Order: sequence, then structure tokens, then C-alpha cells
Amino acid sequence: MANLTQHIEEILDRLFNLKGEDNVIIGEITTEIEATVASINATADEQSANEIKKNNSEGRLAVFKNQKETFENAFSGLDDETFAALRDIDVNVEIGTMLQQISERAPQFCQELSTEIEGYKSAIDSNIERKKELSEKLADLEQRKAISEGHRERLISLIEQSLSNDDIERESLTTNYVKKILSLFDTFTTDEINQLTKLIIFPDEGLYEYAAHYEERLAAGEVNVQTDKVVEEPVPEETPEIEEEKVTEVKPADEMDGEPKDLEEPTEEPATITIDGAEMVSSEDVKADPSVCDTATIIESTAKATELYEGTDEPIEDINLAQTAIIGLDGLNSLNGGGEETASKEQITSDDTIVLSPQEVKMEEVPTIPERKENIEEYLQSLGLNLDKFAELNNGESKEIFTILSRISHKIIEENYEILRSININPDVIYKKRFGNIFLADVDLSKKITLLRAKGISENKIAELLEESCGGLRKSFSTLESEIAIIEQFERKVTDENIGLLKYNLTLFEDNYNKLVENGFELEEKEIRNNKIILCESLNIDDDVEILKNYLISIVRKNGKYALGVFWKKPLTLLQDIDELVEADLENLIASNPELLAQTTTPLVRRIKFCEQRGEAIYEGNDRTSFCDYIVHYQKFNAKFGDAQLPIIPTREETNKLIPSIIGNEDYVDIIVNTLDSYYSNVPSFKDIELDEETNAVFEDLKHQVVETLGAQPTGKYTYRIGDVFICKNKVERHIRIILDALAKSGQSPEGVEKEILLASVLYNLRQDEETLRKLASECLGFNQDETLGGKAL
Amino acid sequence: MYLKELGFDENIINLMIENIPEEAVNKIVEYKETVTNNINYLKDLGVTNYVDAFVRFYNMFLIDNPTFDEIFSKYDREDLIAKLEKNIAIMEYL
Repeated sequence: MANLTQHIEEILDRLFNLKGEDNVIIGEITTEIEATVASINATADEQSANEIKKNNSEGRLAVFKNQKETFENAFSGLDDETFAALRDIDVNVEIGTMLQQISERAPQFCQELSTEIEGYKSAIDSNIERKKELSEKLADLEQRKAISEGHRERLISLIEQSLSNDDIERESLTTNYVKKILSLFDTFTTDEINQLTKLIIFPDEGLYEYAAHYEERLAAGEVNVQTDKVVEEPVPEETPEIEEEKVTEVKPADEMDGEPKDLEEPTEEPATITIDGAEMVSSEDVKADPSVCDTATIIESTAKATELYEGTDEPIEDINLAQTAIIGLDGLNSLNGGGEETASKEQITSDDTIVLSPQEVKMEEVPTIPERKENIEEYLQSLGLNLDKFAELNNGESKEIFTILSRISHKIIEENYEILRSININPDVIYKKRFGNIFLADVDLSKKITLLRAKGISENKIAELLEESCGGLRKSFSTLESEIAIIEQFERKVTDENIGLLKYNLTLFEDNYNKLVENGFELEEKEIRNNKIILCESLNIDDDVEILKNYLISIVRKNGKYALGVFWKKPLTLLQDIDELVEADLENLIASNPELLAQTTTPLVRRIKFCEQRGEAIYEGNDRTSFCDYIVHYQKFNAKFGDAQLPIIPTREETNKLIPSIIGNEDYVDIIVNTLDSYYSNVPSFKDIELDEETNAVFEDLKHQVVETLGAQPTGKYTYRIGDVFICKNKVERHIRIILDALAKSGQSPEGVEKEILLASVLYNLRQDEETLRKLASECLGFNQDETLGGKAL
Repeated sequence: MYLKELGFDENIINLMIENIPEEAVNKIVEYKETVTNNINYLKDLGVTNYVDAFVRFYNMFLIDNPTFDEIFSKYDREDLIAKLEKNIAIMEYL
């Protein structure tokens, strides 16, 4: 580290120490926490001992008083002479003296015991008080520790950003932002902050070098984290400024300028994501090879994708998101707030028209109460409600609302009305029915508000949540409770700042997030923030991930970020879109630009076919993994070619109708086609159909026949080529499995109909015109084109 | 679609509908208020290529308004606008 002065090295030592789990700040707090816990325990022990002593004294006092009373009652009125005769046998019982002694000594004895008891009581009170103080201190320390953890996470993210290979990621750092993060620690002087900021923004001035040797120096005990520095002055929190002149020194403006491709293309190093130590498929790997998916590339990318999906065989234990480094506090903050609605599409008929979803609405579970037979409208009017508003604010649908309200007890309606009026909300909220919920009829409204108050949510925030169409309070109480628990799991505590998360479907978020983590996805904080809506709302992730796994497709983009938009696609659509891209000879596009899987496929294929027909470039130069901008960005295509007439691609249905006549043996093939239709229309499982041993042997044989009998040439990871037509391997194999499974289940043998099965598997869903389909069928059978065109049967 | 009222050309709206998954279109419709506020935020900030930003990064416009504002408000306005105009792809890095 020749370029760093000793002083700079020293402050970098302190900075890097702050990144560690046991950094000096957290270390000090942890020590204090431990000491406080020990004090609490000692105080509790002391209190316990005092309680035992107090109980003993109280016991002694009670026994004494009891025995004294018994004695006095028994011998009351007797004196020393009462048992004088007993002296003859040397028994001297002087009751009078005894009574007198008791009478004289008892008060002092009782007083002493009472004083002792009071002393113990006082000690116990002070133990309790001390414990309370210590507990408060502990809570404060734990909060400070949590804040420090948050600061540490922000620092880690900052340093990672600074050391990133991604120019853009580094360039997005600004001086004031860096200073703001550094000033969180109250440990650096202004001068030190300035020096560190410079190094973080320009890591090549020493930070790279320092970071490269940090672990080594740490292990050697050379890292010095002692400081006697004090903060001279706080760094003002001003709007961060993009340090244009400095940033442009790092990266010339023209590199940032203009074409977005600059940003989507990888920087100096291939974009790779490491999962469990294994390198994941990077589009760059494919890009490095200009040929069309040669065998080596196929094997390599398949192996990597296999690593991605199969490298996580170990069952992921119940994922404790709070412990998952991927989402830190800031990541959780990135989930803060939320959109206004969480109802599924089915519940929405227009922007603001909500269809009742009875299962979601607890209020409808309330049995009818006789008192509600009376005219509900009159009753609502008597409460001072404006009946017209129900229609006005619910697209004229007031009748249904009155029906709902008529089933609710007056007590609940009145209580809810009172609650809503007592919170300073827009009065319109009272009349609105959204997502099947109208607050007036919500039997749990009071519980929901109480829960939020108990969690420390302010009245203003509660009002805000009530006012938003889906601020989360229209969900059932149990959902609300469990989602609050999820927020607490993520952020340790529910606050005004994060309670807005309730607007999202947090349960689904957690499921989706876990599913992705289980499958090796390593989502960055900003990716989660930017795609929060997908994680919270997409119901497709489970099946879509299965499909991607099945095809061994990685959705890591060239810039190292995931193409999460893919998960907007319904599984069947995604499956068929992948097949369609492969059959349009665009397998390389899936590997190089997986974000295009998030686009509708047919328009994309049509644009490419248009370019092919017009002789327009599709690729940048000869690199078949680098597509022209106007292919990738539909708006650019539109800007370049206007409303060009794009070639029509036959639909799957059109193809499938033709299959029996093309293959022949029409009745039988018709049944095969129906079997495949049925599979796709019944929301299939997206895992491979499992076949019994015998059927599987037939499957393996037929799979080989695709190559040997039909003459299919494997030309890619997913692609067969037959003549001029590209066929998706996965599709063909899936179809063979479906057909064999159906035959096995109905006790039929595939013997004698192998060619029908193979051809139907190839042709089904193939989006080609009739002429091409017929030509393909004839080529598969080794006929020449003239023999088969016109419909010669097999 | 309400995007027209926000200054989007009908052609670009149709292109989006045609080219992005149906579920994404539904969410854009469903989250009208959030999307509108976020687009207006960028417009008010002075970002001229907000349409391009939306077409490329529509998922980001479905982020809740406070978080969306937070993404941009930490930067100096003029510099931010200039950078976004130079290359809208930096959106996802902010």
C-alpha cells in the first residue's frame, strides 16, 4: 500500500472495522448490554433474596402473634398462684409472670420484626426500580445496537458500491451521500470524512488496494482501530449533489451518453453472480462466443444453470429474513410505504370499482340479527349518515352495501362510526366500500385500530391508512396481525415509517422472496426495491421458477441484475413463449437478453422476422448475441420503422387444427391433439411428467427417434433443426411424455403409432404456415416435398 | 388508459400494452394513483424523458410514492435531470 499515508491507512482501518460485525461501536454497545444484563440478573437475585427474608420475617411475626394470642386466651385471668400446688412436685408455673413478660416484651419484638419487614420491602422496591431502570437502559442499548447495525449495513453497501466493477453503480455515488453515511458513525473528524469520501468516490486512489489487503492485515493483527479522535462538527445533511465534474473524470461523459445499451452491456468484467460460491450463468459468457451456441457454450451454460438450480439442493431452513444479509434494514426500508391496492385482478373491474370477495370479508360471516330487519336506510340516516354518499362513492352500488349493513348489528355499526369519527379522517372514507370491505360493517375495526395503537402507530398515520383505498386496514384482522409480524421480523419494530408496508401483500412477498432465495437468487437491495411490486403481487413466481429450472434458463442480465419482470408472465405463457423464441431460432436471445422474456414474445418475433424480410440488421455486427437496440426496445423499433406492417405469424390453434390432416391417420392423431390440448388447457404442472419405468423406456426410445428417424439435428441447448425449421427440444420431449402418459393411463400401447406420436409432438404448437408444416412432415418421413404437399397421408 | 392524460402518446401506450405481460398492464391500471403520482413527481422535478423512463422501468413506477421520491430526492436536481437525460438506464442504479 505504497500510495497510502500512515494516517490514511489508520482511518481506513477504522472505517473497515466499522464494516465488521464486531466493530468498535457495536462491540462497546454489546459489552454494555452484557454488563446491563448482568446487573439486571444480579438485581433480580437480590430482590429474590430480599423477598425470601421478608417472607421469613412476616412468617415469624404472624406465628408469634398467633401463639401470643393463643397463650393469652388460654391463660387470661390466671396469676402466679393459680398453679401453686404444683410446686409440691417441683413444678413452678407462674402464669402471671409469664403473661406480664409477654405483655412487656411482645411490642418491642413485633416492632423489630415490622421494621425488618419494612426494610426488606423498601429494598425490594428499590430492586424493582433498579431493574426497571436497567431494563430501560437495556432497551435503549438494544435500540442503539440496532441503529448501529443499520449504519453498518449502509456502510457495507456504500463500500461495495465504491468497489464495484460496475462503473454506473460507482458513478451513482455522490460526495454528500458518502459524507452522510460516514457521519452516521460520530467517529470521524470532518477532515477524515473528507479524506474518506475522496477515497470512496475514487477507489482507484487507494481504496481498491487497501481493500485487497485488508483481510490479510487483519489476520496478521496489523489493523489499528484505536482512535482518540472526536467529531469536530456534524456534517450538514444537505441534498446530495451529483459531483459531475469529478464523476466525469472517472468515466467520460460520452460513455454515459446516449445509448442505453452502454448501461446494459457489461462493464470491463463479465457480470457474474455468485451463488453458494458457484458462478452463475452470465449472459456475458454467451456473449464471449460469437457463434450460435456451439456445443461448448451449450455445455458450459447448461452446467452453470444446473449449478444455479441444483446447487441449492440443501433444503433451506425456515428463512429468517431478519438474518438474511440480502435484505438489510435499508432493504426493508425500501419496502416502506406502498401502493394503494392489493386486491387481485379478479377483484378489480375498473380503476375504482371493487367486486365483493366474500371470503375476504369477515363482516359477512356475522349471522343475521333480528334487530336488523328494520329499514337499514332509515337507521343509517338516524345516525346522521348521508345515504346519497354511499351511491356516489361506490359507483352507484349502494344497494349491496345496505344489504351488508343490514346484516350487521347496530352496536357494531355505531361503534365503528364512532371510531371513524373520532379519528380525523376524510368523512368520505366512512361510505367507501373497497376490496369487499366497508369499515362501518367491519366487526374487527376496533381490534385493528387497537392493535395499531398498541404498536405505537400515531393517530395521523392510522387516519392515513384508513383513508387509502388499501392502506392495509381492509384486510382481515388475522392477515393484519400476521403481516405486522412480518414487518417486525424484517424491521424489528413497527413504526409510522414502515407501517405503510401493510398496503402490500406481505405474505406473498415473503413466499416469493423465499422461493427465489431457495433457488439461488441473490437479490440486491435495489433490485428488491425496484421490483417490489412483482415480489408482492406476482402469483407466478413458484411455477415460473420451475419452468426456468426445467429449461435451465438463467435470467441474469448483462448488467448482473435479474430480469424479474419475467415473473409477470403466467406460467403457461412463459412456457409457450420460451418454445416460441426457440422455434424462431432465437435461443441465443434468451441467453443474451433474458429481459426480453419479460416482453410479449409474438411482437418481438414479428419484429425480427420483419427485419429479416427487409434485410435490416438484427445483430450488432456479426455477434449473434448482441441485438440491435430496435430489436430489444420496441419503442425504438417503432421510432425507426413507424407503423410498419409486421409479418403475421400463424396461431398455435391454426397449426394444431391442421395436424391430423398433415400427419394422416386422422382419427388417431386427432385424439393425440386433443390430449395435448387438454394438457395445456388444464393448467399443467410445470415439472416433467413422471413416467413409470416401462413407459419411460419407450420415452427414451422415442426421444432418440426424433434424431434418428425424424432427422432432427440438435443445433443448440434447446433447439432441433429439421430442414429449415427450428423445433424446441423441450417442447417435443414434453409432448412425447404427455402422450405416452395418457396412453399408459388408458392401457394403450404406443406400438405401431410411434411416427404419429413423434410428428404430433413436433408439429403441435409450431407457429408455421401450412406449407411449411407439410414440408416439415414430409422431410421427417424422408419424402420429397412434391409427394406430400397437398396432404398425402402417412 | 390514464397515461394519456399524463402526456403519453397513444401510440406508445398501445405499444406498451402490446409488448408487456398482461398482468403488468393490469397492475399499471390497478395502481393508477401510485403511478400517476410517481410520473408527476418526475415531471415536476423537470425530468423531460419521463415517458422513456416509464416504458423502460415501469415496475419502478409501481413503488410507493414516498420510496419513489426518496430515490430521486437525495440527488441534486439539475445533475439528476442531466444524468437521466443522458442515459435513462441509470434509473435502476439510483
